[in-house]
Amino acid sequence: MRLAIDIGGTFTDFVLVGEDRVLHSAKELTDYEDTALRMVQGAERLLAQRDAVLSDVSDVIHGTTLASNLVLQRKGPATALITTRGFRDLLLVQRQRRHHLYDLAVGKAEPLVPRRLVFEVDERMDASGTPLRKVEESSVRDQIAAALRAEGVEAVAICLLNSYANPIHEQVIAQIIATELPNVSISQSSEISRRYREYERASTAVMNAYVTPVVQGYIARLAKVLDERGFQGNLYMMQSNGGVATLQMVAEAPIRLIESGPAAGALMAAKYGADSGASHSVALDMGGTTAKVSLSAQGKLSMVDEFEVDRVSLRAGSGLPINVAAVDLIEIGAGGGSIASVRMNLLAVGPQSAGSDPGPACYGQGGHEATVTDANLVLGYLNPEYFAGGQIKLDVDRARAAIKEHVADHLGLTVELAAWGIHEVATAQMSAAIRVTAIERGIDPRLSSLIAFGGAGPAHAIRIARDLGIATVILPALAGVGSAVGLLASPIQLEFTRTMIIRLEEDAIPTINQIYASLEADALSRLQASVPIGEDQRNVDFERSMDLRYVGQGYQVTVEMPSDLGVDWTLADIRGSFERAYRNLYGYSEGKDAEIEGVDWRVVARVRGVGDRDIATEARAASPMTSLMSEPKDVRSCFFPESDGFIDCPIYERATLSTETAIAGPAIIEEEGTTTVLLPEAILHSDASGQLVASVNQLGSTA
Amino acid sequence: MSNLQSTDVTVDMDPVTLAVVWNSLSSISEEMGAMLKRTAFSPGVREAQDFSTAIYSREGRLIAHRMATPGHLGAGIHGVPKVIAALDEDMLKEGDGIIYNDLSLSVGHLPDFFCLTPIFVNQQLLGFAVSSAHMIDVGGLAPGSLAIEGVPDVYAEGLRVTPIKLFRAGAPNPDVFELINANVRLPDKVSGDLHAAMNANRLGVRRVTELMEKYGLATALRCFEGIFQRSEEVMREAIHQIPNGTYSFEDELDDYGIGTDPLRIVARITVENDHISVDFSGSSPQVPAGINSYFGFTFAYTLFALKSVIDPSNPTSHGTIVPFQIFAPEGCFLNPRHPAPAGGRAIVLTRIVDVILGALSKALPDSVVAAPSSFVNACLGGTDPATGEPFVYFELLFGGSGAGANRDGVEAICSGLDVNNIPIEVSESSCPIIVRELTIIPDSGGPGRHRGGCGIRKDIELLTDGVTFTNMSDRVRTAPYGLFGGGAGTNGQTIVHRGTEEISLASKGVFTLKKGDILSLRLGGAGGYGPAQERSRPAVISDVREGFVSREGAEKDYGVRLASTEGWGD
Repeated sequence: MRLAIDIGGTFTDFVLVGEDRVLHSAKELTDYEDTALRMVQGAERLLAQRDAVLSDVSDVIHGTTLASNLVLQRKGPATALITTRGFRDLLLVQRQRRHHLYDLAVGKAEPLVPRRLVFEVDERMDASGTPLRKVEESSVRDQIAAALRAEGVEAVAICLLNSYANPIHEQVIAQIIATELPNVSISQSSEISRRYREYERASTAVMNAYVTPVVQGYIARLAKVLDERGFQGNLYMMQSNGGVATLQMVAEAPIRLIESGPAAGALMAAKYGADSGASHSVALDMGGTTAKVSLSAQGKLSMVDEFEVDRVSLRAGSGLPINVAAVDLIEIGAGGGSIASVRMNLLAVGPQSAGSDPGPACYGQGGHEATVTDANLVLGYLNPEYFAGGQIKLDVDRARAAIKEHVADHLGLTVELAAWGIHEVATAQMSAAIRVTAIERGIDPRLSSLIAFGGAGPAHAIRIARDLGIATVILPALAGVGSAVGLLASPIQLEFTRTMIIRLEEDAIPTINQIYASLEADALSRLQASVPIGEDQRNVDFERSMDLRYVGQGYQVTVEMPSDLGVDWTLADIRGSFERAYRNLYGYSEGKDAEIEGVDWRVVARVRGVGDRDIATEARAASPMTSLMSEPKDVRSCFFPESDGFIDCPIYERATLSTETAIAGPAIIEEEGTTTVLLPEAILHSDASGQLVASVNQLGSTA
Repeated sequence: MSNLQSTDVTVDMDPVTLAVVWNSLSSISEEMGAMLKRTAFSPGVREAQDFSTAIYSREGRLIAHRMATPGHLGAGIHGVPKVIAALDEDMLKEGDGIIYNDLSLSVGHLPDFFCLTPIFVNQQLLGFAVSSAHMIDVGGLAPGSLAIEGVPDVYAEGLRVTPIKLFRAGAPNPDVFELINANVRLPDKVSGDLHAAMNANRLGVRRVTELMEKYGLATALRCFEGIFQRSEEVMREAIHQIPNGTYSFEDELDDYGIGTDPLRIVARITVENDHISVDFSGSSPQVPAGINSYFGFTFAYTLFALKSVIDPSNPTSHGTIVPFQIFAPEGCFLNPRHPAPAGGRAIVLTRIVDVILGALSKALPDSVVAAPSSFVNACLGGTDPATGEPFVYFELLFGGSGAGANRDGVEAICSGLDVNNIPIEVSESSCPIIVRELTIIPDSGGPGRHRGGCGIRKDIELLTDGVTFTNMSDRVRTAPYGLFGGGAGTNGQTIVHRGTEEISLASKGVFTLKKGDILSLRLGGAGGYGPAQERSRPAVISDVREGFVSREGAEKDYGVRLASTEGWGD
């Protein structure tokens, strides 16, 4: 059996799959006291339902928000930075961004290292990697090591100017620190991210150093708990890049875990999208705190090489940037717990969230604000007895009281109309964000399918599709725990990226081949340290890409490369691929004479055999699936403006839907982890693998 | 906030539909911006967000906009109504793209082109999709069309276009394109950017039309009115909180070129119940250098400053500006007469904001901040000896931001704009320079109960001879003011280290530098807030410990004497 455990901001999701490829799931509120133990106990409860124990499990795959929470709450240990003389203020100067123009009190992301723990060393490397001045080793050994000891520093980051071009000075310093302070963890920027742009690289090394002691402690604790309870299989950790890592790989760069939670769900959604036949897909993962959107084309997920942690109000430029490969996720402040309020005498939703603590008013755990979940409950969409599988009893009266006090009374609306307003405003925000995101990436949403998951996603998805002119909405099996299902599908994956600025001229080919060979050798040696890889390396796939630009331009375009460049491909082919990619993004390309240069060179290595790529589409949810006709289990009064208000709406249990007949909306489909709201005029099919497919804009409704 | 009953004065409009339609129109403006950014050529558009996209009503009233630089937004608010008023509506066709960059139509400088496309619903003119973008070049004296010196008038600054159809009923007008292409240095890029602006407008028109189909024309028109009314109500209500009175403030720009006099800038703000008027009378006359701020630009940054203090978070629409009256006498450098040059007027923007905040500090002491340092706009150009090719190093560097009633200023942060600094490793790999230092200058932030943000210093060593350095900076003579007893920030400086020599350069001018010279760009600190004696001892100790204030500074500015065991300053 394989077991996936995904810790999100609000809930911890569990998915278990055995030889029969039937998926079993559970959802629990996340417990922040001894998370490892509580989580394993939760897993044991799910196993017990299948009469199984931990020793029956071959793989545990785990995604967690631990590392990012540590940064968000600034709860890491004392961390220092060593840098080139003259540049101690790299972390404070940043990129001088003002992320809110009108806010006179706007600040910057607080660095993880205070200014007094930044130490300068005499040394200098130039941009070509030639040393201009060698490291003054005595000052590192004497003054800096002593200061680190005196300050009780537990982790040290080293980032020197131009170390991407030649890391030798960083290595020299690391060696000295390791000798002088053997118990301190050291992060060299050139090891974590060998790319140019000193602030971003320093920020990456610093964050890696900052999270290392706690992540290592957590993983050790988790491994121990699992071991004590009889687990004998492999433990894998989810990374931000959509792949999993062995514990050895995590130890090399714990920062790889930083945004691990949502990546798996996006990966799974991309697979669904590709199987649906649409050229593009939009994935919507709406949970308790935020909604996350990701895009894919032909099954290939849109990725980024860098992103920001700890942004203010999700604004670009307000967080700490890191060079870590990650799924390109756009986060919107619209989750089930997003708070509705009145601003400018108008209704507004988010970005503040009630999260899981205190949670929406209807949870009855002390929350008094009106949230999206409260609105969905009042509208009849949610079953108060069956939320999160019945673990949380929802209190309609509390929901109504919160909406009345915070929204309805201010606007002179009935509670029902105010609830509808909250639902509609939240939905419209997600539609708008998807539109802008799609246009930025050159994608027409009308040609995409929408894959909706997360606890709150399916309640809004069909209306979003209607807004956007999307014809097909896919609600995967176990949509409420979609990210956890994705964990089961993820392969072991590593990226190596390196900056080396090279003009694309004929004699560049040997150099380019050399870069890729060395990147691939690096990747292999890292993988070999912890995964069985045969002599012939047949279970490792390499994917090469490069970031190119026109000489003189500041922005780069990623182009995928054939693996044996120079044999079958010529520079003209690279140029052609670049121009195509450029045109696709920007609508034009420069003339044939414009020179092109390569900046970043990237290798992605995947190990086959770990991760069940087809799990999402082939495995199915546990269900009897015996009926020929889909029969409603109940009727509830639900609000649809298309039907002029509340109507008696049939309620179906997802597990009992027949694959033989379609359901026409309006209808509500309930399952343990989520609730799907099927609008009037939408048609829903259930297929053999247990996914639901809704056809939305077929009846002449306009986009 | 909610004591103002919406039903009393507002069009009968349900608050949910209005919220959704308003959000949709804002989102459409965002989509237009995403389209323009994705299809534009100019680095200013992509790197510095130097563009705007918006939806206007048929009378030219701003309905919704994308978050953009205040310069473009304000120029549109002020200029679009004038452009529309002069249009012959019968001549408008679906798919038209009307462009202009004329400074008398409130455009800040010639590189900023506006493009208007009418939105028709059922053959009726509903409004306009409007975008604007900073073109990479529009001809004139120097590449980029931003020279300050040697430009006696606007004719020396480049091509001037009064409203003309660049697109007719969807088709490009080849005559106009030819005319433009013949007058700019990079015709492919400029026409590409104009196409990008039109792409954005087409998307805006399509999306607004879809919205009309969903909600119906009548509802949509009522929503427009609803937006204006809500914006106006909110702004009037916020102004009502400000004590009535007249509040004045004045400040100076150092000069407008080597050996010139300071430019005086005076603002007199009158608050009367729910209305504000701003009068710039007494400010210096226009000057024969490319630093004049045409009224559209003055209006734009005045509006920005007022809104930053009074209501920073709500979206701007026509209703927002109704309670404001902004005046600058014709012929002063804040409202120059044609053909005054204006290419480098950006340096004025911080000072406009400074005097508005300074004046409002007397009415709303808790809502303002002290003056930030000026930015320095440095441009280095020459030939790279390694490649034999020309290189350009261009950077806008910012110092500290001013302290406020409840917080210290911030080090190295943009004010009035949002532009990235250039990574050192990017500069060193593309230009013959080595950066020697990028550090915060201790003791530069104005002392106060809350300390002003410190300035920074960037030292750049040149690895080749014959480098042309264009300097554009300010606050070298006049210091960023502090408030309520807080000290001023330090002055900025531009210094060249040549061997053992230290040469001080003027804040505005063009200079030639040699191999081995170290150019030291020094941004001053920002103003402090409240008396320095009131700063808490732990805050001073922490500043010393982190190195923002030296031990000597702590004693001199704050009267805090640290025993040698206290603090960790190095």
